Parts: sequence; C-alpha cells; structure tokens
Amino acid sequence: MLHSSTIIVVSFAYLCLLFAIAYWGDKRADQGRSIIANPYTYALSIAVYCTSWTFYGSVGRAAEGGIHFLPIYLGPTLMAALWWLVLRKMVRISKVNRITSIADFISSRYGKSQLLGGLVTIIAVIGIMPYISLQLKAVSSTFTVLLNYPDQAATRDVAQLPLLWDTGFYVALVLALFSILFGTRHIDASEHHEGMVAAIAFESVVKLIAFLAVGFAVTFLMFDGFGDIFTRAAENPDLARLFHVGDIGHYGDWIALTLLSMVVIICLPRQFQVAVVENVDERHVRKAVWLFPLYLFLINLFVLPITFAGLLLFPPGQVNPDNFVLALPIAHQMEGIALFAFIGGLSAATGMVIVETIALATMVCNDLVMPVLLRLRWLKLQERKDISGLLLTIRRWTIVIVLFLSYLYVRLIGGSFTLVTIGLVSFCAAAQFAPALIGGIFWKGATQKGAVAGLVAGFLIWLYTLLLPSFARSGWLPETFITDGLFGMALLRPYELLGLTGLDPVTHSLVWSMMANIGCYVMVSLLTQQNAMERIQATLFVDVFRPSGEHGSSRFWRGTATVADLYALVLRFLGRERTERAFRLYAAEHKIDFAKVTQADPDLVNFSERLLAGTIGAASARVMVASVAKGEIVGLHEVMEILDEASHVIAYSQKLEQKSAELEAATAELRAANERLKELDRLKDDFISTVTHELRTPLTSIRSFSEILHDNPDLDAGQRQEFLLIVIRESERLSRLINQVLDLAKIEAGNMQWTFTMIDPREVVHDAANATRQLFKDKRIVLEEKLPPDMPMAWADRDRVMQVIINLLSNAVKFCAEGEGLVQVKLEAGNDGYEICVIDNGPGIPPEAQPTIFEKFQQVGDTLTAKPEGTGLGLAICRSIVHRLGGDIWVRSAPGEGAAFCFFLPYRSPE
Amino acid sequence: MARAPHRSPASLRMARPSGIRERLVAAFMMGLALFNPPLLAVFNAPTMLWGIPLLFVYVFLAWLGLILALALIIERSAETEGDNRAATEGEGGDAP
Repeated sequence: MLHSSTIIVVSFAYLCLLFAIAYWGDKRADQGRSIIANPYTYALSIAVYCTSWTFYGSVGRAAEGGIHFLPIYLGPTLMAALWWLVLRKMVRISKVNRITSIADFISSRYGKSQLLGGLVTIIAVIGIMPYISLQLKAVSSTFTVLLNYPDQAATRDVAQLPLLWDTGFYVALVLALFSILFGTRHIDASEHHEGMVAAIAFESVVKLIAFLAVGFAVTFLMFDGFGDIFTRAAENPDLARLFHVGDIGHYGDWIALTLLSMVVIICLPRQFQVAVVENVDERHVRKAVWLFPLYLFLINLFVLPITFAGLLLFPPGQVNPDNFVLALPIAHQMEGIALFAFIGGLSAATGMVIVETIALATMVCNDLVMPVLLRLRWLKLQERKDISGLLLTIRRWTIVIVLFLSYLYVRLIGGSFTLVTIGLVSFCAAAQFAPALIGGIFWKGATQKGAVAGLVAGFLIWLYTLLLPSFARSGWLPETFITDGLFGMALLRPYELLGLTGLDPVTHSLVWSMMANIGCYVMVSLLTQQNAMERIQATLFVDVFRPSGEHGSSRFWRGTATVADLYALVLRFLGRERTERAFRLYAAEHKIDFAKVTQADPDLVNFSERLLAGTIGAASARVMVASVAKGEIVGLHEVMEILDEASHVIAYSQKLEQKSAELEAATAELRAANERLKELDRLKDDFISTVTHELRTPLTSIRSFSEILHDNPDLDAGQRQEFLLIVIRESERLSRLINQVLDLAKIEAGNMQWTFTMIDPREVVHDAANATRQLFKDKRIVLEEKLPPDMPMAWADRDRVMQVIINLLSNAVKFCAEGEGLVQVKLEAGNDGYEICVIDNGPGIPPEAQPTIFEKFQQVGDTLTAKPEGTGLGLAICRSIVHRLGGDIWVRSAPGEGAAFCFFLPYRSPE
Repeated sequence: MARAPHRSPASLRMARPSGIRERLVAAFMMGLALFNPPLLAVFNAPTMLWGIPLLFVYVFLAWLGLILALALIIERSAETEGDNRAATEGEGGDAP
C-alpha cells in the first residue's frame, strides 16, 4: 500500500511544479514573450470546466443514472458552436472596458451600478461555495481512499472526525495558500494572470492524461475492451437498466441539464475569468470552438466503462461510486496508475479552486468591499497615499474566507450528497447571471432595474428551492420544511413549489428560477427607463463592433479635472511605477506635455477611469474619478442627441462615400466614351479616305478601259471581250461596296426588314458552305463541315444567319494560302443556344488588331501598301446582325496559328 | 470549344458562400436535434452494437460528428472572413 508520506510528498512536489510553471509564465509575460498567446493554451485553460466533478463525480453520477452524466458536457459543446457570436463579443467588450470579472461586466453594462456589482458578487459567493466544497470533499476523500484501502470505513463519515484530524481542513489550507500565491502576488493594471493560465492549461493536460490512463487500464487491462464490459453488465438486469435514458420525466431532466450547462459555461465566474478576462487575443476563440468540445469528448470517453467495471467488480455498497476512478486501480494493485489518478484528480480540483477563488476575490474586493470602504468617510481612504497594498490584503483574506466557508459547507452539509448533486446546486446559481449577461450584450433596452429584479427573483427562488432544502436534509433545518413546506403550507414545499411534482429537484429549481428571472428581467426592463449612464453603457456594449471613432465614452463627459489630481488618484491604486509608465505613454501618444498642461481633457479623465477600472472595477472607478473631477456626465437628453448625431454622421458619411464612388464610376465611363468617340472620329476619317480609295480604284479602271474601248474601235474581239469583262467585274465590285454600305446603314438605323422563321442551323451552315464551295475550289482550299448529329430547331432570320456564315467563310478563303489552306466550319449545340465557328489556318490576326477587327473599315495589314482584300465592312455587318439576333461574336487568334471566328446565337432570337 | 467567356453566368457561379456565423448557428441547431428527443428516443432501444448499448454508441458518435463539423467550419473558412464581418456585427440588436 502507498504510504501517506509518499502521497503527500508527491502531491506537494506536483503543486510546486505548478507554481514553477506559473512563475515562469509570469516572467515570460513581463518580458513580452507570452507562453499563453496561442489558441491551444486558451482552449486548455477553458477546460478548467472539468473539475473533480468530472474526474470523480461523473462516474458516481453514471452509476446512478447511466447516460445522465453527459448533458453537463453536451451543453457546453452546443454553446461552443455559438462562441464566435457570443463569447467573442464579450471578449471585445471586456477589452474595451477593462472588465475584471463577471460582476464588473454586469454592473458596467447597467450603468456602472454598484448595487448590481455587489448583488452579483453576493450571489456568486453563496452560489459557488458548494462547488468549491465539492472539490475539497473529493480531494480529502480520495486521499483517504488511497491511504486506507480496502478499509472503507474511514471514508464514511468525515463530519464526525475532530477538525484537526480531517484531511479536508488541511486541503483547504493548502489550496488557500496556493491560490494566494498564484493570484494575489501583485496588483496588475490589466488583471491578467498569465502564469496562472499557464499552470491551469498544464493541469488540464495532466488530468486528461491521468483519466485516459485509468480508463485504458480498466478497459483493456482489467477487461477485454468496451464490448466485454458492456456485455457482462448486460447480464445483470440492475445494470442493464442504466443503458437507457429512462421514462419521459428523465428526458425533461436531460433537456434541463443540457440548457443549464449551456449557459453556465460562460456564466460561472471562473469560466468568465479564463475565457473572457484572461483572453489575450480574441482570435483564439475561433479554434477553441472545436478544441474545447474535443477535450470534453476525450475526458468523457471512459466514464461509462469505468462505471460499469466498478459496478461489476465491487459488491453493491462497498465502494462509493464517486471513488471508482481511484478504487479500481488500487484493487488491482496498479499503484502507479492509482497515484497518477490521484494527481489527476488533484489537478482537476486545484485548477478549479485557484481560478474560482481568484475570480471571487477580485469580485469581492472590487464590487463589494471597496465600494463600502470608499463610502466610509471616517476611514479617510480618499486621502491614503497607496491603496494597492490594501487591495491585495482584501483579496487574500477573501480567498481564505471563501475556502473556509466552503470547508464548513462540506463538513456540515455536503457529506451526505454525491459530488454531482452538490455541483448542480452551484450551476443553478450561476445560471441566474445568464439573462442579465446575454441579454445585456444583445438587447439595448434592458435596464438596470430589470437586471436587479431578475437577479433577485431568480436568486431567491434558487435559495428557497435548492440551498435551504439541502440544509434541511442535513438536519440544520427541520425536516418538515421539505415535507410540509414553509409554515406547513403544502404549496410552498421547496421541492414541489405550487404543487409542481415529478421533476428532479435541480430541474424543478431551474424551471421556476429561470421563469422568475427572465420574466422579471424582461417585464421590468420594458416598464422602466434607463438613465443617461445606462444608455451610454448599453450602446457601448451592444454596438461594440460598430466603429465608434476615437473617443469611446469620453464624448459623454463634460467635467473638468486637473492632471495632478488624476495622477495622484491613479497613483494610490496602481503604485508609482505603473502610474508613471501609463501617463508617460499617454502623453507620448497624444503629444501632450504634462509640464505645461494642467487641466485634463475629457480623454484623459476617461483614460484614468479605465486605468482604475482595471484594478478596482468600473463602478468604484466611476466613484473615485467623480471625487476629483468636477462636473457631471451629460444629461439623458444630450446623450440621445450625441448618439443620434453620431449615427447620422455615420449614415451621412456612408452616403457621401457612395456618391463619390458613383461619381468616379460616371467619370470613368465618360472618359471611356470620349476615347471611343475620338477613335470613331478617326475611323470616320479613315472611312472616307478608304471609301474614296475603294471607289476610285474600280472607277478608274472602268473609266480607263471604257476610254480604250471608245478610242480604239478596231480592237480585236478577244481583247475587247477581256476589257469588257474587267469593266463588268469592277462595276460589280463597286455595286457590292455600295450595297454593303447601304446594308450597314440600314441595320444600324434599324430599317432592315427581318423575316423570322424556324430554321435548322445545320441546314443553314450546310447551305452556306455549298454557296461558297466554288471559291474554295478556285483556290484549292479544303473546307470541312463539322455538324452535330441532332440539335433543336431555332427561331431566327435564315438569310441573315446565312449571310454571316458566308461572310466569315469568304473571309477565311481570302486569308488562306492557295493550295495548302484548311478551313473548318463547326456547329455546336449548347443548353440555351448554339455556336458556329469558322476556323482557318491562315496567318492569324495580331493581338493589337483583335479588339477593333469588328469595326468598320478595319482591315488587317497595311491598307496603304497592300491591296485590300475586301471592303472592310463584312465583319462589321456580321457583328450588327449577330447582335440584332441576340447573340455575340468574337475572334480567337494568335499570329501564325490561324484564326477562329465564332458567334453564338440563342435558340430563340428576339424579334 | 468553350462558350464565350463573358456570356457565362459568372454572377451565379461566384455566388457568395454563406458566412461562418450562419454555418456555426446551423451546427448548433444540428446539435440540438441530435442530442434531444425525438432522435434521442429513437436510439434509446434495447439493442447492442459491437457489444455496446446502441444509445451510448449513438450519443458518442453524434458528439464526435458535431465536433468534426465545427472543426471543418472553423478551419475551412478563410482567416480574413471573420474580420471583415466583424464590422457589421452588432447591427439590429435593438429589439428584445
């Protein structure tokens, strides 16, 4: 068996290792080389959610209800899916406003209300106490199990041991010491505890590996894998019962616990601490969305096998199922695994206690004690030179007191409950923050009075239906309180309020408290008004992602203060070094020389307030700054005006931007149009010279040959014939040119006659090819037709389509070398139209000519030196026809590789 | 031969994919459906699969599936998207 000194030495060595990690983490943070600035550490630190409850309690819960231990982990998985929307917003808000705790967050959102901050703190302390006591109970009872196995008697009744013999007492002392060392060594302006986060992340790794090790040993060493355990359990009807959800009521509990754990994953003070306050980069939230659920999945993988293994191996009632994780390896003489499991459980417990007590200490100090102390004038706190030492003392004592109260709770009440039952009481308390917290970041209209009403109502019902009955069940209140209700009124039975029966106490309490909480929160918010401060804060919180300009909330401040006063104030809370550094940075950033400026501007007042808020919370900071600054924040009416004005300005500037963008676009269009006009003008000049040239050439030859014929009547018949043929050809060319000019003019003016019919594009292509076949034969060029075997009919003007194809074909002939040319005409049917391509293997078209090739009188090649091959109007006509038929035409070509002229036409051309 | 490139319906092909926020909310809804009745009740049957009760197999596989879906959504979406959308978030939060 393990000796007690071994266990104690190993435990202390482990705690010292943690402390070393924390110390190292803090040191690295001071050097600016943070070890926690990555999403993996962030996700692991959120896994502080898995406490002794998970490590030992899940198995205990599963031994009673099978799968019912699981909603506590499914809820957070679901919530994690929404973290990018919810948690990221909370992180952003907290960074902007230097939020230090959940109490600070809620009080800040509802007008920096001290009342609300105090209320949240009180609920948190009372509500979380059972949760901390659960950890103490788990550590001390597993320690006893490890020490005394197989003698189980020692674990039975902790409450009857004298105080000094109770390990729980020493556990509480040690944990208090470590929490103080971790969290309250110095006051940090930003309230980041990087070292603590590093240690927590490390602990998360340890507890996961420890639990997986136990699970592996139990499943694969003691048994033959998952199937073996469950098959053997199935033979026992008592155990097989646990394979199912249960009856209808159990589904209700299942859903309630899922919803409960969904909200507590962001409402528990320690979850808020690690996920929001300690977050160093909001992008880390992104990866945590799936890393954290994955962690939960892994740590729960072996819960059911361990449960059923324990139930199979131990006689009923001999070993508390909460201790199976430890008892199983011990019973099989696996002492190494058992010790590792104990360290894992210790990790789970210490991680939770450290973060939770630090979070509570910050809240108690900033939102409960400081506001009271600052009001007590006779303490003359306002005049004390340095208060940072006082803050630390308050926090340290808070940690000690919280742990002592938790110890009392476990000693007086918790002994008779299972771990999970104790923990669920705390979950219900933490869930009371959810409406004010989540409502506050999405609903601008929620008021301070609404939040107070909701919290008070929910908390009182929780107190009455969950906490007080637990006192009664432990004998500290009369048993009749549960059985007969308060004052003997049956309707007031705490577990069956107003006669609602058939629910688990936790579900019952959750249903009633949430109904009261949300109901009061919404109703009172709708019926009451916000004051100016609330209105400002609501806008800052809900619209945190909206760009708000540089000033933040300082635009609402119209007070005056001297720089010296503000400096002295901050100095008292932050200490000389930090204050000097902060003010120096501010001066450098805003280019202010404090030696010359004595009057603080609103920005500096706001800056000082935020500095203080990081240390003593928003509400207290507000009071402190107000004590040195004369003047008030502006009235509600003006706040509304400023907010409206701001949104008007934003809207106006957006409109301006839009207008200027439109203007730019229009200018660009105009410029392009102008360029085109210039180009067209140049083309027109070219056109006239080309037309003149084109007209003059045939005219000249007609005239000269006619003159020859006229002057030489005695020419021989052969020569005559030849000259006449030239005259006829040149006249034809002349009339063709004139016809084309006319055609083009008609199409462009819209005077062309169109006759639409159903056509078969294949037949049209074929006819066009036949019509030009003679041209191809003359130049000994090959013409290939590629037609699809089958395609739909089309609605178009047959003659015009044919004209386009013939134009393209005759173009191709012109540019192909005689004897070696190859021209393809290709028809392809598409979904909503067809495409016809004429591809030649001629010289191709240079890229610079391609954009303008469909313009009028654009001919490839130099028109001055080479004799133009055509009129320069063919492609222009083609384009006009294709466009009129609702299609498009384009060319693809590279010099030396031929050219492909293609056009696309829809099956149904517009008439 | 390709259709003329400038005629193809580019606007449809380039249709903006739904953002990471919508996908995460959809995953959340999927999780709600997986872990609650009636689906839960369907698998609450006295059957064993690989020697393990069907209910346990189902819940753990569904859980793993949801985690995989979340991981895919997070890792597939471009790093920049979240930042772009951040500017528009928080709109329309004025009603209860």
